[in-house]
Amino acid sequence: MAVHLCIGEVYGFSVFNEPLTRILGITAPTAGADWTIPQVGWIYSIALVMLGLSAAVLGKWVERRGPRCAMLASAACFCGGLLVSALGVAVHQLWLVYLGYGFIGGIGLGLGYIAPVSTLMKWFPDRPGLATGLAIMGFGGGALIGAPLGQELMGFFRSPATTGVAETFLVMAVVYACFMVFGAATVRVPAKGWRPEHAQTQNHVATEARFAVGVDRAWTTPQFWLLWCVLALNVTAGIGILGQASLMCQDMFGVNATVGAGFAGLLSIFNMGGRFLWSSLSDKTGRKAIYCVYFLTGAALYAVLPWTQRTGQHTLFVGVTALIISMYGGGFATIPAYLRDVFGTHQVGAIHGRLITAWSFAALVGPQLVNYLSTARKAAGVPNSEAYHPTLYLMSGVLVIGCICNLLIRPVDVRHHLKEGAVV
Amino acid sequence: MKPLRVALAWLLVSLPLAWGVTRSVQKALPLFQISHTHSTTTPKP
Repeated sequence: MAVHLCIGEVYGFSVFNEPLTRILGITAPTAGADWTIPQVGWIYSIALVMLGLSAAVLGKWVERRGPRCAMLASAACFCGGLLVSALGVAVHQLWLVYLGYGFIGGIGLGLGYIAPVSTLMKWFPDRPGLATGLAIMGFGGGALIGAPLGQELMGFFRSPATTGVAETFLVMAVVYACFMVFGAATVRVPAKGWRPEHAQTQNHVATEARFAVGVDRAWTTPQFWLLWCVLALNVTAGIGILGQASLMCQDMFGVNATVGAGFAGLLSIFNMGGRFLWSSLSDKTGRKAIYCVYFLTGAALYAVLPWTQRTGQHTLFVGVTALIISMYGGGFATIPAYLRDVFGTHQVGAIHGRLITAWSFAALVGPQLVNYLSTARKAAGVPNSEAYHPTLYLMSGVLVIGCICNLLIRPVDVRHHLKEGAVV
Repeated sequence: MKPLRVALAWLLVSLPLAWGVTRSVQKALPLFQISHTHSTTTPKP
């Protein structure tokens, strides 16, 4: 959790967007010299792409070297990336910020994201959903700490000569390095075959995967790509709200920016809580059943959202969106346990790493889709309050397709299973 | 791990998280005040 709470800061990076556009002008952007919002937006996009790519490429290395080494490497990359970014801001070189936070920091995100997942599943062999929920909950909560911490630090360092962004990056690098090293020093891998006391006295064997599929074989199976679609569609739909939460709330209900920001913060809490609660519940219901709940309930709730706007039901709108986002988080947290059910524990971390590319894909496509649709509707003269309705119906349809992909998942053919001697 | 070390480890991750959650809830409160004070909405044209 210490590692995920730190790298989850990337979700709160948007607090730096506006200050980064007035590094030279300090109080207001200097036209032609300061960076623009679209230029700054690429920092977040590069980081997310690198998250997916590094998790996919380095997953096997993480499995081989263990979580401590991977967490230390993650800390070095993530915090080193912040330091390079601080230098980039100080000398006003955008490529250094792309390289630092985007490229190097993004590799740290990927390593840190997958490092604790398989270890925690080994500690909770009878409750893999709880285990992955615990790990990935931290990533959802990272924005809850990172965003206000960034704002507080920028406020502290702000002066007539600086926006305080470079100094904030420096301090965050040091603070996060301490936390991440603490996490790496604390993590332990259980002995092979270890089982908790209560699991030794009860018959939990049936709930544990007793076969293994290697990562190189796993991603050639239809099950892997169906799960890829499940994650990609779940993320695309969730980001439809999460990425536009503040603006959507302002447009649909005519509230001000402060209230919109409060709404976005509230959704982050449900995003975090849903990761733990829904994923833990999946241990009771089974993974396929819980994904059907996410997708079908989500689809119904998305279809209801335009009605809450038309009838002016603020509270119902907040409640429905909060429930949708909790299931979006739940989808993230349950996927490693689903992978373990389908492919076994042996290389689940590496397989999870390759599946994370679905997230990178959806994180790039989802917000663009929502942006494009709502902007086109506004440009066509549709009132702002109704501009999001087709997008919400579209997201409902996306979730129905996700449900179909989920229902198509079957156990992996035994010819893909590793022989017992090959599982070391 | 000894129970004290486990408790300290949980404290170390829980405290910043609790601070973040509190800050977010405080920022979200105006949303519910609006819900209570306005029975009808005035969306932007």
